[in-house]
Amino acid sequence: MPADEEHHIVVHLDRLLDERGMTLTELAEKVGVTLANLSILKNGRARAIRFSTLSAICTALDCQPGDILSNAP
Amino acid sequence: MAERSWWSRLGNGLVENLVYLFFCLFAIGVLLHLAAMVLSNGSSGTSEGIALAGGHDPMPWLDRGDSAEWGLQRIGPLVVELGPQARLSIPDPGFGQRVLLFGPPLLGHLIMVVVMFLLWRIAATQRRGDPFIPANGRRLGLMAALIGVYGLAADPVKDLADRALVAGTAAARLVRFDYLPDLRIIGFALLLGALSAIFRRGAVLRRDVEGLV
Repeated sequence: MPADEEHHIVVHLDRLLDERGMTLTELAEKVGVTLANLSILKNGRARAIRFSTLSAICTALDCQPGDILSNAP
Repeated sequence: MAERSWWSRLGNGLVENLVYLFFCLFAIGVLLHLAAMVLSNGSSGTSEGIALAGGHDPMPWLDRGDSAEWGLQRIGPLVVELGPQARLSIPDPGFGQRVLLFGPPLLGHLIMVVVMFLLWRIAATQRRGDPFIPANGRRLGLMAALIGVYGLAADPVKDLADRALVAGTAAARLVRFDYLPDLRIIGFALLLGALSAIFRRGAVLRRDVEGLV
C-alpha cells in the first residue's frame, strides 16, 4: 500500500486519557514510547502501530484495541 | 535527529565539493572539445588522432614498409617496444572531420558530466542529512544506465567515426574494427544498477516504517 494512501482510522487517545485523568506524558512513561511518537499517534499522523505498542497502551489504559481505534469511512 | 559532528559535516561538505569539482572539470572538458570541434584550425586537429588498434599483435596487418619505422627504441637500459597502436593524424581537418574526430570523446565527456551532476545531487542530499530518498535511487539507476551505455557504445562509436574518417583513403586498410566492450565498465554499471535497486527498495521500506509507533 502506498504510504500516503488515505485511511479512515480514528484514534481516540484524547477521550480515553480524559476519562482516566491521565496525561500523555504519563501514558508515554507507562507504555515506554516517546512522547513525540505518542503525540503522532494521538493526532492521527501515525501510519502504523506495532502490536506491542497497542498492547501496552491497552494495558496502561485498561481498555481494548477497539476502544482506541475505530474506522470512520 | 542527532546533531552531526563537525568532522561529519566537514566530510560531507568535502565529498560534495570534490564531486562538484569533477563535475566542473568534465564540463570544461566538454567545452574544450566543443571549442576544438568548432573553432580549431588545421593544426589543432592533429591532437586527436585515430588509433590504429588491433589485439596485442604488433600490427600484423601492416606491410613491412609501414612498420619499418616503428621498430624498437632503446632508451638507456630499457627496451621499449612501440605497442600495437599507432596514431593516424589528420593535419587539416574540415568541419565534418572535426565532428568525427572530437564527437566520440565529446559524447563520453557529456555522459560523465551528467553522471557527475547526478552524483553531486546525491552528495547534496547527504549533506542535508537525508540521502535515503527514492529520487537518489532513480539517480543511481540513471548513472548505471549511462555508464553502461558508455561501456557498450564508446568503442563502436569511436571505431565507426574512425572508419568514416578514413573511408576511401589509403589509410582505410590500417583501421580495423575490433569490438570488445570494456567488461570492467559494464560490470561497474551492473553493480551500480544493483545498488540502485537496493537503494530504491530501502527507500520504500523506510517510507513504510516512517510514522510507525
